Amino acid sequence: MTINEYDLWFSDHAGRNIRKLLAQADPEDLEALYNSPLTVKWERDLDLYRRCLKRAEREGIRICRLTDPDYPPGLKEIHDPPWLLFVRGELPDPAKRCCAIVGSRKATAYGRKMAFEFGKILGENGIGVISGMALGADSQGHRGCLAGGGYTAAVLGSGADVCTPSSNRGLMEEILTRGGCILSEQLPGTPGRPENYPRRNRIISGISDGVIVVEADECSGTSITANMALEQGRDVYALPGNITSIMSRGTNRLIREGAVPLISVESILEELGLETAQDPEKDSLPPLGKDEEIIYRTLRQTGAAGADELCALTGKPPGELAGLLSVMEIKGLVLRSGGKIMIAK
Amino acid sequence: MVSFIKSCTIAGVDTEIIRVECDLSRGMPVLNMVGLPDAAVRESRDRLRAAILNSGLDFPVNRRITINLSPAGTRKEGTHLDLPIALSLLAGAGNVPAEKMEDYAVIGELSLDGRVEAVPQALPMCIGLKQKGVKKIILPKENLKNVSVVEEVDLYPVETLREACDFITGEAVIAPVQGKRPPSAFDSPDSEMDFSEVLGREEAKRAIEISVSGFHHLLFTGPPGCGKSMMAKRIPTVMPGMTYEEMLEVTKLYSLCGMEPEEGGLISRRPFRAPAGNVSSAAMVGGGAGIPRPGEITLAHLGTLFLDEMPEMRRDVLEALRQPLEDEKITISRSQSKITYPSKFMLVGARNPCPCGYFGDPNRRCTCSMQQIRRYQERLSGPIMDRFDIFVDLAAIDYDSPEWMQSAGSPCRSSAAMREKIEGARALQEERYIKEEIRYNSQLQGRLLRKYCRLEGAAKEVYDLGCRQLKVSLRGRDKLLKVSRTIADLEGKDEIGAEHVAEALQYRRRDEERDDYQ
Repeated sequence: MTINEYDLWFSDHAGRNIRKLLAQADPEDLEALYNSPLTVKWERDLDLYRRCLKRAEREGIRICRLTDPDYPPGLKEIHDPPWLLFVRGELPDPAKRCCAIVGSRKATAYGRKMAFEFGKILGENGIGVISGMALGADSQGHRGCLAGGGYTAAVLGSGADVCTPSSNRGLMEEILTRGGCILSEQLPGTPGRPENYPRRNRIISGISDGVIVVEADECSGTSITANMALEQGRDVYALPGNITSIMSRGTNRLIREGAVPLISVESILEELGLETAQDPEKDSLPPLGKDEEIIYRTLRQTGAAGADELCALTGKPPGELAGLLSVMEIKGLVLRSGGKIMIAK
Repeated sequence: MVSFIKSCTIAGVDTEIIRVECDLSRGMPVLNMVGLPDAAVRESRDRLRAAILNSGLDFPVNRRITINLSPAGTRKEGTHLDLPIALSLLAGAGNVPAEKMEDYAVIGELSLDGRVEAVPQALPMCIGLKQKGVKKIILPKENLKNVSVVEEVDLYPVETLREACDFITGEAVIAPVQGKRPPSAFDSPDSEMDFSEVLGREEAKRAIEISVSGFHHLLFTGPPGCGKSMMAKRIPTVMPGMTYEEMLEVTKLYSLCGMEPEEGGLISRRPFRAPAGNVSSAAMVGGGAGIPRPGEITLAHLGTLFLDEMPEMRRDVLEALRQPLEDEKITISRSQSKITYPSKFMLVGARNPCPCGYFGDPNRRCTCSMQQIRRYQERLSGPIMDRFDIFVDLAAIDYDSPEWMQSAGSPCRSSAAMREKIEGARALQEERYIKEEIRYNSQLQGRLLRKYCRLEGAAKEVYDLGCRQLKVSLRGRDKLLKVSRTIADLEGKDEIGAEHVAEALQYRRRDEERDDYQ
């Protein structure tokens, strides 16, 4: 049966009561539900939905209904699944597993780097990465997965044809050309509204088998996703961080509440029950000079440090230290952000 | 009878010689002044009559007086033309012999009682006159202290119009004052300030050392209170001394703005200008209503221009900096004229990472939205960012951490120590570029860059690897070479070594954030 304006109306209005409503009405005949005297409605609604249908067709957006066979099975199980999904690109293969990577938009360099690394290792191992395409951690998760050659899907809080944030257009195009997908439960053309994002997060965790939280402030959108994931019975993995860092407060709290701490990038494979291809070469560091080793060990102990502190701790003049740091940056051992130097590997 | 007296007028920074011509003929007793005089020059006719009569000299009666300021097509401004006009008139009347005046140029303002008053901008006039080949200048005595630093000119100070007349007629003798260069000792500026007071921040001090050595523009990014302004204010203490020519040029520019040192002499300290955040574009680059005046960038010539909170400045002001940063001069175009001021300065910029200042600080919560942050960072446009050679990110200081206490306890490098190294590096550059048009490493480009920044062996390897691995842009690679050259100069090395390139890599522009937001 084709999807008609009543499906759109239902999808738009069912909300959290979807299961109750579906139990009462016939999903194949939503027109009857719409016409029932109990339903509050406005005549112009249907016009809007008809226009949306046309727009979806024009923009090449496929509409996937809860009853369709390729509707993501994980999402079907949750308490309030969206009746319709607007999809650009390929929905995740139900036979393969997916993992969500979420984190703060203001993630630190550490968080962004780690999101990338997790995305990459998942992509390399054939696990799909689901995220929200927001700036910061989300984008890096997608990018990492693409770099690892994997499948990635972005769940938007706006319509599937509206790029939010607009500065991520390049990333969106890449996801689509690399066989990923952009999906949303919002009608095509809906702009990104803050109130849609918490609801959007239930889809991210619903599609996924597990959720990796890289960095989150307390009471942030990322924490909401984590809580949804717990409600939906998904595994939540959190990246431990400095207890002094605001961006790690949320993740550390999740760990206290029972989330699985990820102590290395490879550990996520173990957690997902995959064979960890133990590559002894990968773990060992490239050969380090004596001074580099001092800096590296110092950073291991202190986490992140400013150049001044490293000067004081290593006893090197600033010029010499800068040279050493450049070499270590080239080797990919450390990274710098906002005046702080931290370990990258 | 027609008489000629030499004087001058200022056009922009240059001095133009003008000839004051006076013709007396029979006719109605009127005084006409032609040759585009401005209001101040035009008013001199009234001062003239009173001054001549009150000096006990004869003002020609029943004569039609025509005064022409030649070349008649350029605008003349300023009261310094009073004295030459008076002398020209007296010569025309036959009271003083004009033919004796061929070698002299005259400047001075008259008061009604015949005294000669000091004039503004006397120094630029004298410098200009000297450049145009005039060796003898009659000038107000009060201006002598400012002007006596100009070499190879004879200065004849006068106090009254009468004195000037008597000197020309030969009735009195004025001993000429020989201009001479002042002893060019480096006077330590603001002894209260020194880099040794800045605890820690060794990396930033190093960056300043490199910037000053090679005249590289420098951008600090860091949260409030991390010491950006504190360090910028101490940059003059490490600036190398100026040569006589440089001092003369700087003093001349300040004199044009009426900011010459009151005690006379030359400005011997390199300028440090830190205009307020709400500065207008006319105040920044020069211009303004009526006759254009030099702006902050010209006052910072040969010194430092410090712009705090750069993204908060007005967009038009920032964009106006582009030409002077590129060309080291600023051209102000008017419908009537075009004026070029020199503006070779070292730009030191400071900015916060975001509007509230705490983006990326793990210990403070940033209250800005991502859009605000992006907009803030984009306020420094690409062309402006491209002008900076050295980028330094500073983290907030945790004053309670043991590392800070440890580094705070250790002795800090003083300004004197830094300046010594800087002067060494400058000397190497002077020597290297003696046959070129440039003077500093930051000016290297194109052919010269390839000639003087050749990389060999390990240095080449680090350069190639670094550029590839750390994704340095093409423009960034040129900057990398220049900064490496300066670091090598600081270490007193002829060849750029691998360690110099490696260090320079730390001062590159980091685009990781940009990559993420786009």
